This record gives sequence, C-alpha cells and structure tokens, in this order.
Amino acid sequence: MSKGLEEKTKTQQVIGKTTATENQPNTVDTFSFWLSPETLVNPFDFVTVDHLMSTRTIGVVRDMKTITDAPSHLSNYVSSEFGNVMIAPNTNRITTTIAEAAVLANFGEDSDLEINMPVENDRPVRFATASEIGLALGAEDLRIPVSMGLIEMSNGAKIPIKVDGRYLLGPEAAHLNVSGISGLATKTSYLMFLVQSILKAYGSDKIGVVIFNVKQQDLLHIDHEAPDLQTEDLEIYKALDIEPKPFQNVTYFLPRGEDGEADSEHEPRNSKIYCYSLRDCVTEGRNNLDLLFSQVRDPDYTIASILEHLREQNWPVHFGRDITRNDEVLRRADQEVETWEDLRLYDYYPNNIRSGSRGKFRRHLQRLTSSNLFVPTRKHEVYLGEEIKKLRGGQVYVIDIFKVSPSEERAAFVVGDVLRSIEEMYSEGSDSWPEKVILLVDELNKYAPRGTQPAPVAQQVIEIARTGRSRGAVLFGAEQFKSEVHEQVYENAATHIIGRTGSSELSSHPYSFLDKETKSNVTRLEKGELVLVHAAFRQPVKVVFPRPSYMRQEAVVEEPSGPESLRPNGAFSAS
Amino acid sequence: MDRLDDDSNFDRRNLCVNVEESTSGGALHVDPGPILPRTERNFFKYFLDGSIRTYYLGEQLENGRSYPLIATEVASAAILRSEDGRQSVAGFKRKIALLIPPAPPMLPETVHELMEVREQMMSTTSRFKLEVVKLDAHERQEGVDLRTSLLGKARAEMHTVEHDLAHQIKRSEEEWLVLDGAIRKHEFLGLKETIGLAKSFSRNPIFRTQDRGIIDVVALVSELREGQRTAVFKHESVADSESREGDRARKEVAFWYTRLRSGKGLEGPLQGVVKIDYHLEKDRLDSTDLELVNRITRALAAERYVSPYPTPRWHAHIYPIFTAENYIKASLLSPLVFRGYFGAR
Repeated sequence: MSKGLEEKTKTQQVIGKTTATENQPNTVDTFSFWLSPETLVNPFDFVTVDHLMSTRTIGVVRDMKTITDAPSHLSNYVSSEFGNVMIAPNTNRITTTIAEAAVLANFGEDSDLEINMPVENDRPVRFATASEIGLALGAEDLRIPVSMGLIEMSNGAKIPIKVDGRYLLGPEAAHLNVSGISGLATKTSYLMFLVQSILKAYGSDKIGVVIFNVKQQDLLHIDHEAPDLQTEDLEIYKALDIEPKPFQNVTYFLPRGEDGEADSEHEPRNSKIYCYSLRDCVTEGRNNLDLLFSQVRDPDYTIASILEHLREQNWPVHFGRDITRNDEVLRRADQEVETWEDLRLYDYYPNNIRSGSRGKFRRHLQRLTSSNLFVPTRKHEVYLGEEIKKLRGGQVYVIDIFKVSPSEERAAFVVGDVLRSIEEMYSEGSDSWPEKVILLVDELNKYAPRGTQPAPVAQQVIEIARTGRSRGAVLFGAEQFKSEVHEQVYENAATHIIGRTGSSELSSHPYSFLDKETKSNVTRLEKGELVLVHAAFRQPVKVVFPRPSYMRQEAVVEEPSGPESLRPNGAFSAS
Repeated sequence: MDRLDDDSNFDRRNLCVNVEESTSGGALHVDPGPILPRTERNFFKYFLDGSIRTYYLGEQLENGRSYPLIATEVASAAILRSEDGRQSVAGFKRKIALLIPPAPPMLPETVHELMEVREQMMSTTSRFKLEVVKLDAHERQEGVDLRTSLLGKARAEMHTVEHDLAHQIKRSEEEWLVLDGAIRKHEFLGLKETIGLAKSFSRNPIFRTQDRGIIDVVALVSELREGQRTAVFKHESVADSESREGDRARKEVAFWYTRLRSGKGLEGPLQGVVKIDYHLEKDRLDSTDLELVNRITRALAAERYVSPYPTPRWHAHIYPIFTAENYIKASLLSPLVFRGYFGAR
C-alpha cells in the first residue's frame, strides 16, 4: 500500500468490508460489502475500496439487503413462538446490511495501470472523497466542464458533478432527454438550470437558446430575479460555482390572439407577437403545409397527395378559373393565391384528386386555420421562421405555445416550423448563427410520438436528433413518459435524466438501459432528485440541483392592472 | 457431544437424590414463576461453547506395529450479550495439536520426527502453533482402540481450552455465564455464577423419589410442562474410599431439568428439555438456593426467543450458544489448509 493510500485509509472512516461468497461473488462490475452497525448508507452513495497494486475501486451503491442467520422465514415464525406477535426476542438475531455497489472505475497512482478485476473479500470500504468521485467520473479530462448538479452523500458530503460539454452539445455526443412524473420530476426546472450552467461553461456568446413555454406563464419571467431562493439553494449555486441570476437577453414570442393582441397568460415587455400568413408557410421552394396537416389522420394518403401537388407547384400559384358562389365571383382566374382563404377556395387540382379528397382537405384547412394565429397578412406581428434565423449567441428566445397547445396540431405546427427553419438556417449557412443552439422542447411526446410512421413534425424532431450533433443544434427534450416518444429521438440522446417515474413506465423498453435496482430507486426519488445517465459514466448517478434562479410561475401573482406587475408569494413548486 | 460428556458423569454411579425434598415437599415438578426476559434483567450475559475438529492423518508403522496419527483443532468462543440484546465476541481461543500415543509403541525417533513437523509448521505460519500432546498411559481407555482414546484426548483438550477461556473472561457480579453442555471437569467448579446447559444429556441417571420410587429420566421429564423445572438432584453421596478423579464434580454439582419447549414440532418426551448443571456443595438446599434455581430457570425460559430453528436440536438450543458455535465454525481452519500444513512433509 502506498503511503498516501495508507494515510487515506487511516483518516477516513471505514464503513464496512467487502464480502464475496460462493453464491454471491464479486464481479468485474459489482461488489458487495457489509456495513458496520449504525452506519448510514443510501443508494447512489459513492464508496471506495482498496484494490490490488495500490489502486482504488470506486463504486456507487445500487441496492441494499438486510440479512439474518435465519435460513427461512419459518425460522423467525418459530422464534416468535409459532406466530405469537407479542414475543420479544431475548437475543437479537445476528443481522447485517449488505450493500451492492456497481463499479464505476479503478485507478491508482500509476495512471496507466488498468485493473478490471473484482475486488477481493474483506477489503475495507470507505465513503469516496470528492477527488475520488471526480476521478471516477472522468473529471480530470473535462475540456468544457459543465455542472450537472450536486451529489449528496449519506455522510453529509456534497460534491459537484461535472461532465464534458463536448458530450452534451457535441461533437462527441449530444442531445439530452428528461423524463418523469409531472411535478415530482422537476424536469423543466432542471433543464433551465442546466441551460444556465452551459451558458456559464461555454460563455453566453457562443450559445443561442430556443425555449418553448407550454405551461401558463411558467417560462415567461425567466429574465426576472427569483424572489424565493433559499439558503440551501444559494449554497448549491455556490458549490457549483454558478451565479444565481436570471437569464439575460431574452426575447419572448407570444401567439397572436384576438384583435392582434397577444394570446398569452402574461405579456412581458420584451415580447413580440407571432402569427402565420399563407406566404410565411408557402413560398417558392418552401412549403410548410405538411407541418400544419402533420397530425391529421390520412389513411388513404388523399391529403398527402394534395399537399404533394401543392409542393410541386411554382409558388405563387394562381387560380385556374373563376371561383363563384351563387353567381358571385369570389376569385378571378389568374388571381394569385395569397391567403388561407384563397387556399381554401383554390380548386385547380389534377383529375386524379377526387372532389371528395379536395373537400376533406378544405375542411381540415378551415379547421386548422380558424384561429387568430393564422392571418391573411401580417401587420405588426412577426413570423417565427424569420425571427429564428436572427438568433445570435447569447440570445434566449422563449416561444409561448401554451394558449396554442389546446390544439395539439397547431402547437405541433409552431414547433415543427421553428425546427424546420433552423434546419434551413444550417443549410443556408451563416457566420452570425451561434456556434450551438439549444432547443428546449417540453412535452416531446406530442411532437415526436412513438410509432413507425413519423408525421412531418415528428420527422423534423427526429432530423434534429439524428443530425443536429454535427451541426450544433442540440435537442433538450422532456416528457412524462419516454415510452410515448419516438425511439429515434430518445435513442439519439447521449444524456438521460430521469426523475420520479412509476414502475410500469420503467418496465417499458426505453428504460432497458437501467438495471432493476436503479429502476427501483427511481420510483422512490424525492422531488428535486434526478438520476443522471451519461455517455461518459459507467453507472447512473443521482443529483440534486437548486431552485431556478429566475422567477417561476409559482412565485408571482399578476396584478389585474396590467402586465409586468409582479410580486412574489414565496411558494416553491418546481415544474 | 453433550450427551457423551454427560454419560461420563453417570458411568459408574447413576443413582441421584432429590436435594430440595425437605424444602419443597418432594414435588418432582416445580413451577418457578414467570419467565425472566432480558428486558427485565439481562441475567445471562456470557455464553461459551467449544468445538473440535479432528483429522486422521494416517498410520505410523514401527517394528511391525501400527498406530494412528491424529491431529486436532479445538477452539472455544464466548459471546457477550449486551443490554440491548446484541451479541459480540467476548473471547476466542484455539489450539492445534498432534495427538500421539504413549510410548511404547512410539519410538524416540518418531517423536523427533514429529518435532520437526512442528518446527516446519511454525515456519510456514506464525499465526498458529502446533502442540504435540501425548496420551498418558492412564488415559488409554480399557477395551477401546487407540484411535478412540486419542479422540477422547482431543475432547479433553477442548474442555481445557473452554475452561481457560471461561477463566479469562472478566465478569462483574451478577454476570452469569452459560457453558454449553454438562459440567464435565472439576476445574469448571471454580467458575462463579456459571451453569452448564446440556441440550442432550445422559439417559443413565435414575432418581430416587418420595412417591414413585426409582424412576428414570424419561419418567422424570415426560410430564414436565413448558417453563417448569424438575426437582434439583445430586448424585448419591460417594464414599471417600471409592472416589477418583471426576467424583468431585459429581459431589458438588447439582442438576435439574427444565422444559424450554413443548408441543408443535417435537417428537418424544426428551425433546425441548435441557439439563442444568450448577455448582452447589450443599447436600440440602435452602430457600435462598431454590430462589436462585428458580431464577435461573425463569431466565432460561426467556432464552427460547429467538430460536435457531431448523438446526438439529433447535427445540433445546439457545440462540447465543448457537452463535458461539457458528463463530467457532467460521474461525476454524479450512480442512484443506489444515491438511496442507501436514501434507508439506
């Protein structure tokens, strides 16, 4: 044993010893240890074992079992006088708790020495130190260290955990997926915390952020100070070396409502109103109508054939004949198709598209565009597809789709249109475009649902997941149930964050990368606790994170007198 | 082994008399009172057991005669039960011995050779010391083969280790010790506040009773109810002219039986019954003695919980002794390792 290791073993408290038996041997990936009495250990604690040739093996506690020398439950039944519940034992049975740890890493002072051998029996076990955990998680090789949260150990240690930004935003790996029960899993709060952490690690001028707000005014105050940060939150921020300040350089995009006003739960000062004219969606060489019809059921591909026909046309298209109703001429032949109403009246389709199909198309078009979001021509409003191309490093765009969301089809259209515009931006190429763009999409299951035939919007999400890593477009997706999301989306994510999740959901295929002990632990996670599965980590780890450093919906009560009249109510409920 | 040891206490004289007849009116079965659990008073604090493992190493041939070579590892462990019911090891002793027969037949050259084995073992490991233990001529049992006598010697060595350990334990007042098995040797009589507890015992003793005349042990305990004890007995007085080694133990040890369990899962009247040996020089017990006997019995009744079920004789086994047994088993050398020391020659 080296001198340093010897001293470490002396100074750190031994909490147990490794145990290997005939039936339950230690392996390359796991080892077991018994705990000394009165020792408190929990799943996801990190432990260290002295190993061969002065090396140390770091493990993370996965499961624990308490055993006695009773060979069967019947022994205990008999010991209580054949089932007398009033009997108290005169002598306590020999009992101990056996913890099972998954091996994270093995290292020694000679860094070239690779040992992938099971730890031996009777080796002292200690809580791992911050430096040991850092080494086990590859902290010494981080080029762009990004704080992912704090590990809280049962011995009271709080250790920041960092990953290499190259594995979050590319080029090594990219995309992140968060799942878990609504409210308890604190998915959005974590994603927002992580975005702040990334902005700090990279420097804000390199990163552009596009966020979709799907819950009331949840993300419509992110440039306001958080009034309800507690001491423990500030301590975590300090430990992570992140300044708890709100987002800066934020632009909010709110959907158009009645009379051109914003249709939003809150109207921040630095906001713009967005809507869609036909020309935004259909121009020469560009046609987003497929996104609008993305979720329309079309088993006979009749609408698809009409959309395909419209795509093939050289826009702007013109009416082939006069359109009349009750002898009234609604549109003249050769008149340009300019508005949604024009498109509804347009009837210059090939003969193989039957009138029934045309009628179906018109009815769906009428239904989908009968909203204040769709206008004949834009006035003071903006088109998101154009705005998104103006995104620069350091800017944060928040696109509010909460009021659009009741119609999932329209919300999907907004999301799909933004994603396609980003794709177009990359195709066009631009020096002013940020080095990396983070797309934060909540309720991913609505836009890229599970299924073999992805709809156009889902294809757009999949495209980002497939090719975004090399381009710099990174998807941070969230959903309650990963099993409801298209597998190409979550399978392309190099980092998975899992909050409290039910056991039936965890038994589905998307969670098959988790062992059963970790799944069991996930069902018991507290609010604000998350399990992090990262491409560079050999085992899942549990992290906690602070309340967001911006004003959340729960912390404000809007005065009826007008926008931006905010006051805190101090309640915390991470969403 | 308990029964084997107890048999030796009743090998020649087996008539026993009731020593509390005058105090308790000759009743054979006595109700000692409610059980005395640890939570009320941690009466028995130490529990000691011994274990033996013998190895037949082969036959030594000398001048046309042979004799067995037997090695043994004997060990004893004491368990301390603290006030909260938890157990810890209070002491452990081990002895590794090569048992050799008296000379003749062993030649001096052979003895020398064995000494070399001892040196070799000590050079192999510093943890264990090999002792060469010679069977004295008077220890050679008549009518049995040499091998059986050597095994008896091994057993005696185990009792010596047990005795040494029992004496080493530093006990305060009212910290009683339970020895597993009958009190076999007069050396044990020097231990204060100690009982011998045998879960299997000799069927040889017969009892002189006031009402029923001479009865055997089955007749004595068959009607014994759970928690009850029998009257306290001692061997009938041994004439000084006939006394020999071991008779002091017979004279000074009083014993009685108590039923720890009855009913479910038991077969036969002796199951669930334990025999208690206790050092008592008096030939007639007064009320103070009986109060102590009753207290011991009541405290033993509480030792039913927890039970080492389904081990053999679980019905008469108490858990801390079972723990001591297991500790010794886990501490004895692996047979492969043990034979390795001798196979190195």
